[in-house]
Amino acid sequence: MGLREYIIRRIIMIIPIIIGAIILIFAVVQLIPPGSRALLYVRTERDLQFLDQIIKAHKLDASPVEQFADWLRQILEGNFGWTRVGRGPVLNVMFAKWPATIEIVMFAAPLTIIFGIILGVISAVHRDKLPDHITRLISIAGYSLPSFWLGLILLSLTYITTGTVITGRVSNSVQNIVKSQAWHTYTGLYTIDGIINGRFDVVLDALKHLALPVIVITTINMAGIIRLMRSSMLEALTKNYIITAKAKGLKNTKVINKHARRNALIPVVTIAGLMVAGMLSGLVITETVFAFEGVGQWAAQCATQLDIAGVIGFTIFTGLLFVISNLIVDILYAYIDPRIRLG
Amino acid sequence: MEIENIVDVENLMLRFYTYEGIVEALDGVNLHIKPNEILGVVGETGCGKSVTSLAILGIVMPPGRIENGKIIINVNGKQIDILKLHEEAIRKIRGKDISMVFQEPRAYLNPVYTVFDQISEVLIEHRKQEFINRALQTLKNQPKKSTITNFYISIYEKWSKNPNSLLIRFLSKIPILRRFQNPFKKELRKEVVQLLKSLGMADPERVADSYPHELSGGMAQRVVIAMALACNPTLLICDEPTTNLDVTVQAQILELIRALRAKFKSSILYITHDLGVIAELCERVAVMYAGNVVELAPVIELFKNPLHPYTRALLESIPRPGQPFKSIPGIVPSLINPPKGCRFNERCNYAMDICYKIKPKFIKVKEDHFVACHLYGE
Amino acid sequence: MFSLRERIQKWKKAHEASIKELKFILFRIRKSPLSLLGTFIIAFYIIIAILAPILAPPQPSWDIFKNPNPFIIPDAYNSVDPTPPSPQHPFGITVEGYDIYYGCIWGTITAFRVGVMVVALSLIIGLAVGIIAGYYGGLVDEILMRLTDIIICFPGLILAMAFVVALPPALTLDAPTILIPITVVIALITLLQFLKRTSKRRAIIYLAITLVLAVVSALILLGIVPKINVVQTPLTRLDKVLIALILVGWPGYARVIRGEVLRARSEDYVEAAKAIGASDSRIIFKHIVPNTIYPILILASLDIGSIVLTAAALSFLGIGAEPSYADWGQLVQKCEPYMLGVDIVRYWYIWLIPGAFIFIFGLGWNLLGDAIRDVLDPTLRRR
Repeated sequence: MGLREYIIRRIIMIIPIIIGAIILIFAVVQLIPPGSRALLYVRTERDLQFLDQIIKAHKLDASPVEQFADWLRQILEGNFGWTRVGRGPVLNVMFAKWPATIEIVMFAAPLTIIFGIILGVISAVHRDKLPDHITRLISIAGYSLPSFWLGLILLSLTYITTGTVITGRVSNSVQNIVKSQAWHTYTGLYTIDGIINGRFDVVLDALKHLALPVIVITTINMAGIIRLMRSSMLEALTKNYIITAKAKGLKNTKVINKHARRNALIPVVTIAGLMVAGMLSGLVITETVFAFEGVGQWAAQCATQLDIAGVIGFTIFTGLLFVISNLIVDILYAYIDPRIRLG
Repeated sequence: MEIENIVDVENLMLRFYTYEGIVEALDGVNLHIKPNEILGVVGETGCGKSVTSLAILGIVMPPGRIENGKIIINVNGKQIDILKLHEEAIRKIRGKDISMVFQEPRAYLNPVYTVFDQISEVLIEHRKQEFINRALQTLKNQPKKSTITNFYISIYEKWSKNPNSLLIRFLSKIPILRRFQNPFKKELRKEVVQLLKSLGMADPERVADSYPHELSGGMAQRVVIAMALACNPTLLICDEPTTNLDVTVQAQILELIRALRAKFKSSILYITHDLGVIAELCERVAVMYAGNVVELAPVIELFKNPLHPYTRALLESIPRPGQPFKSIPGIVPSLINPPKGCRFNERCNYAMDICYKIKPKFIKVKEDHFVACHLYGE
Repeated sequence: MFSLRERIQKWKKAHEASIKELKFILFRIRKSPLSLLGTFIIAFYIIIAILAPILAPPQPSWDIFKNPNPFIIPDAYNSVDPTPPSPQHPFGITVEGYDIYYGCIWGTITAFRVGVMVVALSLIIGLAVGIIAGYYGGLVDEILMRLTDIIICFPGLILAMAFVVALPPALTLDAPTILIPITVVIALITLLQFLKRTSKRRAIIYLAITLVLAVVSALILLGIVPKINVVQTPLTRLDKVLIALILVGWPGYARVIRGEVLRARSEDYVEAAKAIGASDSRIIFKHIVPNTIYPILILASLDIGSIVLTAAALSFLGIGAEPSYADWGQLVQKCEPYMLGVDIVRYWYIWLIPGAFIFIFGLGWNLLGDAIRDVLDPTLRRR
């Protein structure tokens, strides 16, 4: 079957899952008392004073079945409720904060993949010898580290060495620049916008503040890639075509790099897509530690302050993101490896 | 005048150090291959045939280790002991003077590279200079030379003087600039297509651009053979190349191998467990059992006059219509703790006391007929 | 009939393969320095957990009022500022006057409790679902796997966050909440009966029960019949964390065991058992289960490390254990007021020490887990 049929088939398989996920979230929402639940229907700030009427209007103390259709309609209209923490409608607040989070992922993801692949290959080629043990120790330590602990250590270290604590997206002086009239926002990413606006001091400042969160996220996620690359590479090295390559008289490095690695990369490259969505979990904690004004920090605050609309909205969105990246990963895999398409 | 043997394996001992114990895979293997002959190696699964061929190529992988012995090959008039060579030197021989064809072709081809990529790889590794020169010649022979052609000619002249120059290697990694390799690649492609055609492929251009999983078993096997023959090896090792193919294809491949031997004048070491193929294809044959060569003789002599009890039992066990099956009682001994003396002692009808104590030596009993058995010799 | 020695020998013979497997695993562990390190770390923590009452005795004398629950960290002083380590309080005191040393020691027990309970319960649920889905296949498999997929389609920590926030302070099991799962289970069993074509009478009985339950549930859902509270228990914050982690964790195991069961189902010995007329449950328990679950059990128990890490993250966010509870993540959370400033270095002991406990705990389990995973993965095994 061709690529197109495969894509269509996968998309069709996704639909019941999305429906089921929404039902699951709805079930979770049902656990919340009606008073708090009303926040999910609020559109404007004024509505906050009329919670009782909202409860009556959407029959929040009646049967779940009636509520479901109503709530679904709300969602489809784009009304996820009002977040106290963000002081605005959930969707708007989330979209305003996304660029910050994307900026971290933008730098962390390529670094994770590149380092992961390099270290994974080293680990596999020198299996059970010193480089392997060291690499594995690094990678296992990497994902055993609590992200908040690593973040706090890095914060402390920067204070000890430089005398200042680096938190937030930009320092105060740059903050004024960004808020001023002279600044044009194109993408919301300070690094890109800084280049477009021609203000390289902004770019530098943003990079300085991005460094630590990116280090934390990279360290923690790198381990997964290293492990996968290692086992994938080990499996590729047992394959018969490696013997053929050796029998042709090729140099050992060429055998590893040209023949084994290309085959080993196939599952890794596709898992990398999943990893990006998985970074969100780590970002919730990391952004909190560094007071980085992204979606993660907002979600953490919503959880702490029991801001129901925020938490539910965030969960639905990350769920959707996860499902879509799963889909893309599957399609990518079928594209790269023609054998998969045969079903 | 004694014609030197192409390969002389003397008393080769090989062990695998595994978790379950030390596997004595090869326990003193002796064989020799004459120039331009087809030597068959026959034996049951696990008797050590494949491992011997890997040892000749020098690709014994850990946990295997060669403990003892000599493998002397005769290449370009010189005699070299492979086991004494270091990796760099052996690499030059592998793929060029000695090459190998494997059992399941599609498993032995890299699924993410095209046939052209994989065959040209061997050519690039061993015959690079030749193709650079060819490309240079073709460029020079062009009647009307554009500026690019002249530019290329100067590059190729430099390249011809120094095939491994860093500059060239660096340039070949840059996307647009690496187009300068096109004349070179064209020469390679001509050779690959020619090679495939000489192996009987109907549409060599298309095959060259295919991936291994798109080929049938027979075609894939021809590709592997093409890869092995690309550099005109002196010795071609075939490890059960037709076992997984159906009989008609098998016949074609055998015919092919015979024709190639005549054309390229190489020697062939043909490993199989099929006595029929041995009878049809080979001139001499070595019989292996449990890590030893037990008998080595010309084919007709072996079939007429089998000396070793195992050979006799093997020939008797060939199914004949109308007669009941005759198998060899017992099973192959475990090689982790092999029996003392001759390894066939448990199953041998002629076993004597000494067979349980001392290992029989590989000796010449008649002209060109060798056996390792206490029944012969002192 | 058989003497004890004979019985032991028979058992050894029957489980020969598994024993060989186990010996090989132990061999690999001994060989790798990393996994040895992991084993030592885990042993170290176990010792602390066992010796907790001796290492950090609950001190009612510190308290103004008697403290019956050793897991509540005693108030040493009502000091306003955190105090650095001193001989009396080896790890220091937090702002509300909690002794960090005490918290860390008893936190070890909390960590094991959380880890073991979450892994055990999510394993039980996951195994049950996975075995049924894998063995019976067909529609049952589809339904159960969709359910699994739905939960897996959310990132773990985030869904756990949602659960913890949403769970009410007291667990009220009222009529619909109990009836609906029971209805679903009985409906599934009915489906099974129809699919396997057992006696008509049985199938119809089950169908009748399903219909009755479905009607009652529908009535309740539509609000016609009033809800009756059956059970009401208060949920501590730590309980909520446990429930959330279990709900998020079981689908992973379900998927894995289902894969294994599918693989085992096509093996010859299952066909043979069916051919001699063995019943389904017999085949499952005597044949399929022993051949599939051991590696999974071992791998699952090594997940304790990451479970504790996740629980610590939840506590750090403030939605985990109660503020006075002996929990590592909880202690780290206490540095929250100081996080954005210089004080984070001044009061290092609040977060560095408990955090180190979390890190090394996770490190130990993950080191051991990595080595064992290397062994149990069939493609990478013996060289």
